[in-house]
Amino acid sequence: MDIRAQKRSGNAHEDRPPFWVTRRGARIALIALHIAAAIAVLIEIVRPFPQDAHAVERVHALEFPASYAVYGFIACVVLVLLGRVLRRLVMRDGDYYGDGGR
Amino acid sequence: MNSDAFPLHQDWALWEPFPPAFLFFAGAILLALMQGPYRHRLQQIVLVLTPLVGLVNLLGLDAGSSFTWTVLHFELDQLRVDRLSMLFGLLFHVGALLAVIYALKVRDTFQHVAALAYAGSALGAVFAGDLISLFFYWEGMALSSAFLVWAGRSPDANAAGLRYLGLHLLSGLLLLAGAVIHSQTTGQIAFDFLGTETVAGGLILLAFGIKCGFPLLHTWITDAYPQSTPSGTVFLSMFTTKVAVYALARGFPGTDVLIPIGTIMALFPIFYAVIENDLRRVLGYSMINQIGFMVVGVGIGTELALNGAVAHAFNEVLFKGLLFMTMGAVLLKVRHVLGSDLGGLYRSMPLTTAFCVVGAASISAFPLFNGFVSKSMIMAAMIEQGHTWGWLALLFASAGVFHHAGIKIPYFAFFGHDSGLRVNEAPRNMLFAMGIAAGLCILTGSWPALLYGLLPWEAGYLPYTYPHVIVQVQLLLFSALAFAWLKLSGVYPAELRSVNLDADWLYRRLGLRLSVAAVGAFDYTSRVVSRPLRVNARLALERVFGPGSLLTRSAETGTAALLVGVMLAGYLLIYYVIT
Repeated sequence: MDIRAQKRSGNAHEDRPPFWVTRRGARIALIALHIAAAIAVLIEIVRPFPQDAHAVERVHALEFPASYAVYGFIACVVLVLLGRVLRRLVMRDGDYYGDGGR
Repeated sequence: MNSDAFPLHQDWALWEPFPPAFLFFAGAILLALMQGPYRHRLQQIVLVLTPLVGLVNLLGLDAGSSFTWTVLHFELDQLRVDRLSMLFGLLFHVGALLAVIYALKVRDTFQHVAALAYAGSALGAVFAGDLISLFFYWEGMALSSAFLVWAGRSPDANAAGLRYLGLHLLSGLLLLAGAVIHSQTTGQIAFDFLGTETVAGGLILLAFGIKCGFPLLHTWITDAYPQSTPSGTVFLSMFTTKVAVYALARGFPGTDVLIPIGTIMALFPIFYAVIENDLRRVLGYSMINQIGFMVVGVGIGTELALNGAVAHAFNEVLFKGLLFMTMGAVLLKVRHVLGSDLGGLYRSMPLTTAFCVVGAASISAFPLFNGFVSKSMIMAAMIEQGHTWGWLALLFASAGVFHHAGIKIPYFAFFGHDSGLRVNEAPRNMLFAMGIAAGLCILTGSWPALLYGLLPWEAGYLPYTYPHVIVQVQLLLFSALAFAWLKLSGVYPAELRSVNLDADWLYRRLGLRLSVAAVGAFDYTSRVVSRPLRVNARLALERVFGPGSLLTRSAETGTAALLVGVMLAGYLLIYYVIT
């Protein structure tokens, strides 16, 4: 195997990251994400979906504008919060099953 | 099922078409026999030619192609050609081609032989028309894939491979038991619809369930897949579970119990994936989640749902294979794939990063990527059949997939905190395989008619409608927003080196301890109870039969005659009472 993984302390010029992964780039990406999310919701409000039952799959409880957005956001928050609870229940040391987890 | 010829069928009649598995077995034998200084180069040629020639052979197959063996009084059908088997046959050839290109620089005959035998067994299972042939290919897959796990050549890989093999042999035994009972009760060995009304059907469903990763039977995926080599895991991810989905679609379409099972499969792994540190294990959990969608599709059983299930299996081979390839490249270069110790690899591996992002977008079902066009078929079928709660659960799982596979994998491996790791980009053959897989993900996602035209059942579906696209984009963007906010606020669980207990705890810890306790109890019983009992029993017998004991003592002839007389009288009395 060609293993050349190494940590370099860093020549600043050599390691200068491209703009899109700098702190400023990340901030802009985050703002862009917010704008894109807002646009995705606005599109539905400006041009509502046809009232055809097969136009989009939705259960009765989610028949309001931007319902998928709300559901997606809540689902991910619930997922992470429950994940934290699960971690408390199931996380053990790396060698729990013996040497190297066997 | 659509009885038309497979759309890609070619009438080139170069040779009499034969079962696709045979070519792969021949390739495996050829690889094993190669010796000499040019062995590696020749092996590379055989590796690439096998799936390519296999494709030519496959496309020449039609409904009239047949190949049967008569063993005892059984007709073993090696070549059942219909739209379902052809779709999976095509998928496995494409998957095998991608995987061998990815593995081309591996100098390990052991691994290459196991890989071709494994792909061949999977193809054999897909084209097997009877349960006995299916059983043999089923076991062939178990054994050859276990060798791929062992190819990791570490103590952990050895142990995980044994556990893996144990579960898969159990699956084979259940399949055999089911096949025997089915044959005895119906007089048939054909592998068609089985259903769960009979004992045989139940046993076979359980056998398929182990290979499919049903809840509590799923741990072989997350246990063994992270232990194999970079290319070994790519092979492993492509065949076993997809053969199981094929088998379910063939034997159990419309089986209601599969809907809750599939929903649970889609749901529980996403919680584990969020807290798991080993990124190949995260992909293992993600695989169970995706198979959950397919199992639900098979359970619903309508033409749309079945098409969705097999289309998603097709797409999953491409995008999950691609994601495993990218993580394999990281493993090759960095020697580990622990999220806690990675980050910033986009600098060193920009192309691998780009391919990983394509795989992540595909598995997350972004419009224009292939996950979108197949997952939405299953979701649509589910709501069409009125499974409201199940649909809500799958929508939750869809958001979760994006969270752990769409964002977590690329973020922790290639972006996030810069770990300071500086490595070379993946080798060209790996990049080539990843590039083709990524291209296919985009091609089938942007031009779904390509895939839809190959599907076995007739069910029209239009994924690219204005509402579909908008709601999916809303779901994914707001999931991403939740990730960003949780990460910035520090709520998102950090990546930690740890072991997360799963159902394998039942046999790796509880089962082990119970076995040790049982051995101890047996030992104790033997020492404290059995041994004294045995000694006392021996003494008692010696008192009756031993030298100088009651029955060996010499007696008067008259006494003996009297005893015989008493015995005869007793016998007559018993005879009189009974009659």
